[in-house]
Amino acid sequence: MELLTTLWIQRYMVVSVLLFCIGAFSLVFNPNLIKKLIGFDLMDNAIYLMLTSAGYIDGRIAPIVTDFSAAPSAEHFVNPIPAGLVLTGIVVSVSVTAFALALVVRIYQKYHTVYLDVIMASMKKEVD
Amino acid sequence: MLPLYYHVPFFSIVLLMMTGILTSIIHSGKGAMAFHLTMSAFVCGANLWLLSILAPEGECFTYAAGILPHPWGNELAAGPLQAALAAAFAAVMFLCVLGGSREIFEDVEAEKQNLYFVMCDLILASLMAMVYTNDGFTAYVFIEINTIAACALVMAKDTGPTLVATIRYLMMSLLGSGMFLLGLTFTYYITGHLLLINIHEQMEQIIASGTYLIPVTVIMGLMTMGMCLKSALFPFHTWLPDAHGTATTSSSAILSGLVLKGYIVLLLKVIFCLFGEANYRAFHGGDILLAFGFAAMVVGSVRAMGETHIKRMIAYSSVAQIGYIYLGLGLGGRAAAAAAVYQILVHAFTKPLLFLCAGQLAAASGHRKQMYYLRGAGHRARLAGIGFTIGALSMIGLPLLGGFAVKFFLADAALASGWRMWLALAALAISSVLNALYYLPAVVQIWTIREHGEDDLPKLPRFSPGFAAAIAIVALAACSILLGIFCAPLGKLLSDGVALL
Amino acid sequence: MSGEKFSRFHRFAAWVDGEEWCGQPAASPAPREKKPRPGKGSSLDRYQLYRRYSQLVGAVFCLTLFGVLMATVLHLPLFGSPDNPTNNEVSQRYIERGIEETGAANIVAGMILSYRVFDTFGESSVLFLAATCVTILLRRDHNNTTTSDLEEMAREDRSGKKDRDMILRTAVLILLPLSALVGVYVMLFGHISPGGGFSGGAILGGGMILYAQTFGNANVRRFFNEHMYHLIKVVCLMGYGLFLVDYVMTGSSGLPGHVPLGIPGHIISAGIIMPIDLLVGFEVTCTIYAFYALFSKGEL
Repeated sequence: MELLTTLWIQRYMVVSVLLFCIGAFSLVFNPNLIKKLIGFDLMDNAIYLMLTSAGYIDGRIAPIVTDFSAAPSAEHFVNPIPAGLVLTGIVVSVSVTAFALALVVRIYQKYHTVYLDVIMASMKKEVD
Repeated sequence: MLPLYYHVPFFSIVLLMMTGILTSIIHSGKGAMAFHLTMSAFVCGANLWLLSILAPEGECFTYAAGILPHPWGNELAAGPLQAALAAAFAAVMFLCVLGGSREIFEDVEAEKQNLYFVMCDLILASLMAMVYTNDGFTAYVFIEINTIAACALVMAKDTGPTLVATIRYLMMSLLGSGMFLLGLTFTYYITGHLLLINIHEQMEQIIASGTYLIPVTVIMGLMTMGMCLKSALFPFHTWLPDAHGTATTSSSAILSGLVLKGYIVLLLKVIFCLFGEANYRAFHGGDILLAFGFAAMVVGSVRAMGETHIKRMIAYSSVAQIGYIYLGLGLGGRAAAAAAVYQILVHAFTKPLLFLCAGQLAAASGHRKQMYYLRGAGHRARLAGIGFTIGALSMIGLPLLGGFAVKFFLADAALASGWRMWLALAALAISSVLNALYYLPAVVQIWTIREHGEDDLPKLPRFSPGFAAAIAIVALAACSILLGIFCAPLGKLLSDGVALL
Repeated sequence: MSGEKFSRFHRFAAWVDGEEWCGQPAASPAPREKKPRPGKGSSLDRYQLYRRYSQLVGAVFCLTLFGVLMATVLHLPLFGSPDNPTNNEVSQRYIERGIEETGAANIVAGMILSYRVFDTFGESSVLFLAATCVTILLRRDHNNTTTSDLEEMAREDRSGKKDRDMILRTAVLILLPLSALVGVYVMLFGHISPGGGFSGGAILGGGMILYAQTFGNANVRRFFNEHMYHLIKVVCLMGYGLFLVDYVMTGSSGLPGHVPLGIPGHIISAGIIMPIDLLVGFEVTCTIYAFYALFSKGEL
């Protein structure tokens, strides 16, 4: 019972771990390059979900100050650090995805398939 | 006011990034190259200056990259070890680009040549950042810069095999950086910090109190595995021979000499600055690295013996040489870590030498890279032949050359490490023999004079290396000899530097 | 595989994989040439064996990973609790003294563009780097384009010019100013409300893509050509870099910054944050549009 309660409290992390594993599986073991990339994005987003959930505190609001009359109190706002890290991280994964997709486009133009194992086999034939 | 030399680490990074940005609008490839060479020489000089100030006193400092120091803002940390590594990386980058310049202009599309140098600039900037950073998240961002730029170097030749090698490399690297980021996230969960110094303080408390032992173990596993994936430690080396073997000459040289090393330096910082070496060893991280390092030394050499393509052979040899570094990291202790760093330097100078010379030898044999065609290539391209011989002998471990110094330091450090001594000494002995078994036949092959009519190879003319490449080969060969001759003072410098981490 | 009846599940799995639908002969990926070795070990069987094997290994690997990570998650600090190690003096200082030190009411913006501005410059460089790599790969040169590609593109352009939908054009003409306005607003107000350079730039870039989709890339080229792209990109990034250098030089030496912080909550406030947001925003706009143009046409 205690285990179930913990799992429920940690639900965001449980989901992100699940997504991370699915993404990693797809990234490494799926022969389809596009699906590999989808796996990569899933994996990265799982990490961002986990990072964001690190900053949440029950009952507090987003860290944007609207009342300037008094110095803001740390009791009112959630932790701003994870949000900032996620912002940075998202840009990084957008860039990587764009680069990888461009690479896939070129590979498809050359080999007319997006299946990596098929490409590897035809390359071996080229060399032989 | 801070003394001027405090600004060197920050300026090395930012100047190189700005160079990269400006290079993207220089239309001529030659101009872009000149700009890159100037800036990397300048950065190398600045870091040597920093080293000359820090080394005598054993000084190290932290530099707030913003208004606040740790634990609040981004920070850089510099000491003799970081300065030495940064200077060496900049020098190697300069020589790699100089030495492979002719191939760059042949292999890369004319109107996209300047973009090749953008990648070189940003790789150097990210290496500097990885060497100097004191912040886990900065490390992650620059890991990604390094990954993308390194992949771009592989694909610069723009043929089918290089594109495929690039995507395989990219996928492996992405998994590695994903694991590093996940490890960093867990670290943030349990420590609440991102700066290495503060994480270390918290880690000591956590481990002493025994609260989060499972997360700590998993963090170690994830970060180590991520960096091992990216630096091609043995079971994860499958992408390396394709990526390094198919790329253009200076890309191969930069990738094997520099890019792999950046991640290892980061792992060194993770071990020493994030966990603390004693903690890392208490969780048996060192033993695992030792085992995989041993396996890499053997497997890399055995696979290299089976290769007939000279660049792939050298690439597999990189797998074995990376094993030496991990052996040093795994043995534990200051002396062994210093030996590992020494191997980083030696390999950073020797492997580009081998790649540049192999490229020249292949060019002298009608751009064919199979061993069979290289017979007698040393006589056609004499300088490249001599350089290849020096590099190969250094890798085998001939005294007075860099490789020997590394083996000596490793063996010396192993003597003080109990049962691990036997494993390390066995690894060194086996790997030296195996290295000799594939490098010596290659050397003999390139110096064998072809009898006329002995085989069906056409008679080839003598090959001129070109002025730039000649300078690069001579300088790299001189560095690998100097690293062997002056191993005592350099070893002391690095060992002091490791102690200051 | 020929003549073999697939189970319903196999067909469903193949349909999910998009294999029937996209017409890519993925279920039989072997080249249609003669089998290299007759009998067992034909290339097809070997593919399937290899795929099964690798997926089995992968499944074992991922289940192990899942188990390990779940064990970690169960031992991490609990979600949402105010006593977690993450809520320490760092986040407290960001919130309590952030306005005073950075001038930004949006504490996240204040954090990423002043305390951790070095990271964020790295992030913008990653985007620049990705745009450069995509240019290397996809900008048209004789290596990656054939004449038939060019012909097809010209034909598309011609047909695109003829039948442009009136409803679409009117709708876009209404939407476009709105998207530009929202984009610039999000950039300009990044330091006092949710938003910032990247999100604003993405909105503005989306607007440009919409315009290019409806009116053709040639129309975009009248005000945004390759020269403009390079100019904006380099000016923005260099400007950002110079702000960074100035900020870090003064900050690390303990001097006050050159850019005044202003009154919190006003548009002109927060020191370097607003100008950097604008610069990043325009760089992102360029990059997003460049991605679109390079992927679709291979040129800007």
